[in-house]
Parts: sequence; structure tokens; C-alpha cells
Amino acid sequence: MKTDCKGYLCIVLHAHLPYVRHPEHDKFLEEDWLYEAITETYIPIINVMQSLLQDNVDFRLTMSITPPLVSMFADPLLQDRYERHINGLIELAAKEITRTQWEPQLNHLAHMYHYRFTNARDVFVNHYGRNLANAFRKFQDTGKLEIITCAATHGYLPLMINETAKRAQIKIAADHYKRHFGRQARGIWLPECAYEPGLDNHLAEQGMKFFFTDTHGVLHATPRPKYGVFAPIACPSGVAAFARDVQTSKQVWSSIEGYPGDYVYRDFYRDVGYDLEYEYVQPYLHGGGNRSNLGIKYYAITGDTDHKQIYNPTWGLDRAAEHAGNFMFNREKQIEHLASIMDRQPIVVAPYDAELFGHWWFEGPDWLGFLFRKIYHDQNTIGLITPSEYLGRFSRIQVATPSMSSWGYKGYNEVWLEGSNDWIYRHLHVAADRMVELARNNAGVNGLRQRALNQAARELLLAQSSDWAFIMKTGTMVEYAVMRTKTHLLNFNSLFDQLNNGTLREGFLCELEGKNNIFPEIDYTVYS
Amino acid sequence: MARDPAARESSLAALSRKELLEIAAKRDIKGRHRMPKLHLVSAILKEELPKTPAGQVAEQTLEPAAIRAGQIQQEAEQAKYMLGPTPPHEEFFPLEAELPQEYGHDRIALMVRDPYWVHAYWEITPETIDLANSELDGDHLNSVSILRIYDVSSGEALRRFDVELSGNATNWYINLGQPGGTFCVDIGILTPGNRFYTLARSNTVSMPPVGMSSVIDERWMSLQEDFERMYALSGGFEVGASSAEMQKMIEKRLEEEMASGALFSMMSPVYKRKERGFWFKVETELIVYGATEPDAAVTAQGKPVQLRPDGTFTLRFALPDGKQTIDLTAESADNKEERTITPEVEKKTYRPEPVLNE
Repeated sequence: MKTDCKGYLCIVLHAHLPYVRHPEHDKFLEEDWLYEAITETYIPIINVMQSLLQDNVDFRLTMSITPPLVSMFADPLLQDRYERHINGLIELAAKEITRTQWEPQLNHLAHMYHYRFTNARDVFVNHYGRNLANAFRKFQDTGKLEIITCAATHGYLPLMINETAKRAQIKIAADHYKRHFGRQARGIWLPECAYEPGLDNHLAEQGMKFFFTDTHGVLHATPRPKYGVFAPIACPSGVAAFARDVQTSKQVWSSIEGYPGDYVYRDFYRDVGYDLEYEYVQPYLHGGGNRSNLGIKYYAITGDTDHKQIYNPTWGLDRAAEHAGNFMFNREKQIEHLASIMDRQPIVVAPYDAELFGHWWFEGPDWLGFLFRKIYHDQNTIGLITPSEYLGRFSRIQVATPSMSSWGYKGYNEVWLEGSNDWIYRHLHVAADRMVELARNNAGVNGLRQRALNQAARELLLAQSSDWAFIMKTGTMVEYAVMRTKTHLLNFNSLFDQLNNGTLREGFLCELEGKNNIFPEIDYTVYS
Repeated sequence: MARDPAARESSLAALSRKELLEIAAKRDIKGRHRMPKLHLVSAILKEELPKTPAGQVAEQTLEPAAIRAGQIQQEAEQAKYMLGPTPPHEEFFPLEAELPQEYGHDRIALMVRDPYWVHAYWEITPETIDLANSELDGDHLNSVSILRIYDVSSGEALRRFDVELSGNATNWYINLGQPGGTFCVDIGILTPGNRFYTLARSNTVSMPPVGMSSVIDERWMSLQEDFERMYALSGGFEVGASSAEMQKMIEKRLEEEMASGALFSMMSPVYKRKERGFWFKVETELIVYGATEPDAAVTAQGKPVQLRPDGTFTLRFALPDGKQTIDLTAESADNKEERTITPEVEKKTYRPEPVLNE
């Protein structure tokens, strides 16, 4: 870590997917969320870190890896299925190499995908024993990566009313982190960056030292933060809040300055799953045989036109390097200016969805690699830092309470509370209250009853994932989100009735335990 | 079309990609299916522009400058769940039951949506209503159901205003108009004689403030101008601006909802309109297939070809315009015989101008 620099940059990637696992189907469309993210985001990020390590480039990165994602990484069924999935893609890419031999530009890309898929399989199977949590843990142990946790199932905490239910989301996450990463979680990414005053008490109780808010969370804190968003504040509970910097997020997200929309970058929407002849791609599609994305994409964004240019990876890489240089230059100017008016080293916090890198922004992981290399080799103004390191260096922090906020559109809770999804809360709230009631009325039970209570807790947690409300709002795969919300609530309600009426059915319980098997070590007394 | 472009842009930006596609279909925007959300918004805005005489610059205010980063971020976040441009329709096992409409307990719950708005939902059991009616002793005739909003910021419950409920509403969005305040809500019956009978009381919620706090900690003092400078550098004025804009938008929407008398349910109607717009695409592939002894070695263009167990094989090539030759060679397992077959294929594509039948 550099200490003689003028200020710090803290890059945070939030890696999350909801728990999707359907042993009852041989192939299941939404499981692709995980498989695509593994191939396009997690493995490319792992590869970038690996190459930085090999080249002795000192870097710092903070990543939240959520409990559902870690659980899916560790699940043997999903591991098998990922291997099957990537083998299918390797086979398809090989066919593409033959098919495109009279079209050199496409052929070049077919080779590129074939290489990437083969590499992904190699990294997945041979390097990390089919569990990518091992990869991230390895980088954390080098001190270059700080892994933080997130609420147990990415539940949207400010819309949860029941304090015990909020506490359970945090406590289960803290325990899960310890089990998988072998140490205590020092920090947390609040789901959707959504904070409300008082949440920090639950974090403090689990020994967590920091979390993040969107810009206005800290900026509108009470009392007024002296350093704006360029230093963390400490909640009355002692937990520190770091806030997102507007400029760094604009640089990636703005329609004008934003990098990922550059015309030479690869287009996300055009995919051979839709573009090629049906019978040819059919074996690689899902059981139902509906067309879906397969991950081989040949075109560049090109611009506002139907006639997309074929993607040129060399140009894409060049542009990513250029954008990394531009990002670094802007941070140097920003930090120089801040350092000149602050009486301590500023910290600029730049959090992004991890799945932006690679999946949506194909060149994103390369951009990250270029940025880290440039920061290491080309300048002395900025130092990369993790929140824990920052808190180790600066013990004097202003005490203030952040404002309620989230990083969703419009900055508060509206994305998760509006016409398309507000119906879920009356059911979620009742289920949470009932869970607390169950736990309190069933202290110290064992055997079947204990198992049923643990499963009830799993069903509640799975229903609480903020992903479902988000999907209902944004209109992609809505039916699935509705189905999941209802299914887990119905499962919960059945268990609740069976527990109260003394009519527990072991067969039913076993079926749920097999299907919705997140958190095998869960202890329902977390709700009492 | 006398609309405020910025407001129109915000309202478009708030729609889903699917909804935008429907609007784009109505406006007959070409290439809409391939456009990311951002481009759809600007294409629709462009289409809705008042047509101005050549030479006059009318578009400059409509460049996507104001499309906020948040929208693009949301689109990228959404991409995580997107498995294709047209989400494949899925059949799930039918649910064994539906969620209950009621849980048999009186309850009203309050959730914060943003600094101005809260959402309330409730359930009141028929027993509670019967009890109320009998206690009101005939007074309940001509009475109305209301939400009564209390400001409890000071520790005391100060009555702020009532919202009369229409029909059999079970939820409501309420504009409290007081960022930073603390509130709770009663649902109850208001009689013509102004008697209020409480059916249920909500949880208490605290609204987030808008803007920089007025509270200053002496140990972390700065000059006023330094506070303002840090606020500006932190992007505070952008946050502030978007909040003001948001309030404007919300007020406008509220007016519209009032006019349409549908305030209790802001659920946006789901349009199922068939999209119009025509396109046509033709690609050509060449399939080459053949058979030999199962243990023979076959190559195409010098590269080995995988034979099926019965000795057949199939190759498939994207076929561009022009002449292509494919060298196919089979060599017997004992290396004693080699045969070569070389098909030659020429492809041409004609694209006459489209015919428009008016």
C-alpha cells in the first residue's frame, strides 16, 4: 500500500446473484445467470488478479461476495452443471470455428471464444477445485483483495419493518462468511446500498467495522460531514460509513462520458442464441428449447443503427487501456484538488456491480487490469486502499448518522416499492413476524420440529431477496420472480401451519430441504 | 406536442425496456429491437420533437445529456438477469395454491418510498369492522374510511391531515411533503359528526432529509463556504437537483392520478399491444455431408473431421457471397487409399429495393 500519496482510491465490486438452483429440472433457464456470470465476470476478474500477482503489481480491490453466491459456488449440483454448461459452449465454439472459416473476422472471434471457454473450464476445474470461493479466498490471503459480506439473501433491509428479521439477515451473513472465508467479516455491502438509520447497530453487534452508502447517504448525514464524501463518517454505533463518489460513477455510467457505451466495445444484445439457425443452436439451449443468449457475441456496439460492425477485440482492448488512462488522469486531478483543501488524505470510493465487468461491459475486467497497472507504474498521486486499511490509518473519524438512501434509481426505496412489486410486502412482513413467533414459541426443540423451523427460516430468507422486487420492476423474467416469491412464501406458510397444528409431514419437509438447501447450518433461534 | 422535454425524458427513462419498445413500435422507430434502453429513450424523444424548419436548432436540449447515470446503471444491473432480448416465455409447475388475501389480523404498515412519499397497506378483519359499527351505534352510516396522518417528530402525535379512501382500497401512496419528519398513520372511520374511530395504528417511520444537515458538530467545524465547497465537490448539488426534479415529477404525476381518480393504486397499467414494424433477414449456410468407412480419416481443408460411429459426417459453413471450394479427403485406415472430392459453390445475393404498397 502506498502511504506517501496525496489521497486514496477504493474500488469496490459488488458480486451477487440470487440463489437459483432447480434440481427438479435437468436444465433450468435462470441457472444461466450464474453460469454466464462465472464465464464472463468472475473468472475474467480472477484472471486479471492472477496476472497482476504474477507481474508483481501491487493492487487493492474490495469485493462483496454475497452469501447466496458463495453458497452456489460451493454447491456440488451447480458445480456439475456449470461444467456441463461450459463443455457445451466449448463444443459450440469449436463448431463456430469451422462454420465461420470463410469469414475471417468472425472466425477470429470464434477462436477467441473457444479460448476463453477452454480457459474458463481450466480455471474452474483445475485451479480452484470447482469452487470459485477458493479463488477469491486465495487473493484475500495475499492482502490485495478484501472480501466483505452482504445480507444473508440480499434482503432489502429498509423495507423490512421487523428488527429481528433484519438482524437475522446480518447475523446469518456474518456466520456464513466466517465458515467460508475463515475469518470474521470486517465490512458489509448493504443490499442495494440501502441504509436506514439504526441498521448499523446490527452490524456493530456482529463485529463489522464498515459499510457503504450512496453519495447522499453520507452527504446528508446529521451532523453535517466536514469532508463531504471524501472521508468516512462513524455512526453512533461506531461502524464507519464510506460513500460513493459521484464523479467516478458518472465516468462509468454517464451516457456522455460513460465508458461501457463506447462504439468499439462489444455489444451485449446481439448473441448467436438468437442470430443463428435454430436447429444448429438448439442443443445448447434449455430443455424448453426457447432461444436465449449463449454468450457468443460477434458485434460491436457500433452506434444507433441496425447494421452492427463485427467486433474487433484489439480495438476493444486499446480503448479499454485508453479509458483506464483517462480514469486515472481524472482521479489524479480530483485527488490533487481535494488534497489541497482538506487537512487529511481524501479517499474516493468507487463501487460498481461486479457483473457490470465482463458480462455487460465485456472489456471491463481488462479496463480494471489496465487501471491497476497504470496506478502502480505511472504515478504517485493516488494510492489504492481497502476500507480496513483506511480505518487502520485514520482512527479519528467524525461521528454522524447517515441519511436513509440506496443506490437505486432516484436514490431511495422506490425501485423496490412501486406499483409492480408493492404487493409482496404484506406477505413478507407477516412471514417475518410469524417466523419470530415460531422461534419464540419453540425454544429448544429438536428432531423433525427443529428441521422444520430451520427450513421455515430458509424459505423466509429466500423470499426476501431484493432481486425479485427488482426484476418485477424492470420487466425482465418477471414470471420467474413472481413464482419464486410466491413459492417460498407458500412453503413458509405451510410449514407455519404444520408446526402450529402439529401436522408436520416429513416427506414435504425433505423435499423442501433438498430443493431450497441454502445455509445448511442455519439455526432458527436467530429469530428468537 | 407541447411537452416539457426534460419531464418527458424523465418519464420515459422511468419505463422498462419492454414498455419503451411498445412506444417505439407505435412511433414506428426503426431498429428498436436492437437498441439498448438509453438509445430507445433518445430515439423516442427525437421522434416526438416538434418539427422545425431546416436550419433551426431544436434538438440540442434533447440530447441524452440529462439521462441520468442511474438509468444506465439500472440497465446494466438488469442485464444480469437478461438471458435474451426477448425474454423466453417459461412454463413453471403451477403453484399449488395462491397467497392468501388476508391473514386474519388487523394491521396497517408504513414504508418509506423517498423523502416525500410513504406507502401504506392494511388489513382490517370483518370482526373489527362489525365491532366498530356497533360501537359507533348507527353513526357509521354515511361515515367514511380515512387514513389519519400524525407527525410524531416532536414526540407528541400532531394531527397533520386525512386521506379519504375510495372503494375497497387496501393500500395507498401518501405524499407527506415533509422530508426529515417522523410519522405514523391510523386507519379508521370518520363519522359525519366528525367522530374518529381507530381501526389500526401503523409503525412509525422517519423520512430521510433532503439536502445538507443544518446540525453542525463543533469538533468538526468548517467555514460555511468550506462546507458548501465540499458539498459541491461531493456532487451534492447534483443530488439536490435530482431531488427537486423528482419532487416536480411526483407532483405532476399526483395531479394526473387525482384527475383520473385512481390514486389508491398507482400500479401502472400493463399494455399488451401487438408491435408493428417490419423487418426481413436472410442468411445462407452450406451443409456438406458424406460418408466413408467408419475407421477412415477424413479431412476438410486439411483439418480432421469427426466421423460419427457409422462413418457419416456433416459440416456446416456460413456462406458469404462469392466462390468457395471445399477440399475433402478420405484416407483408408490401412493408409493404402486416398480419395478427394472438391465441391465448388458460388453464392450471389440480390437485394432489390423494398416495395411499399401504400
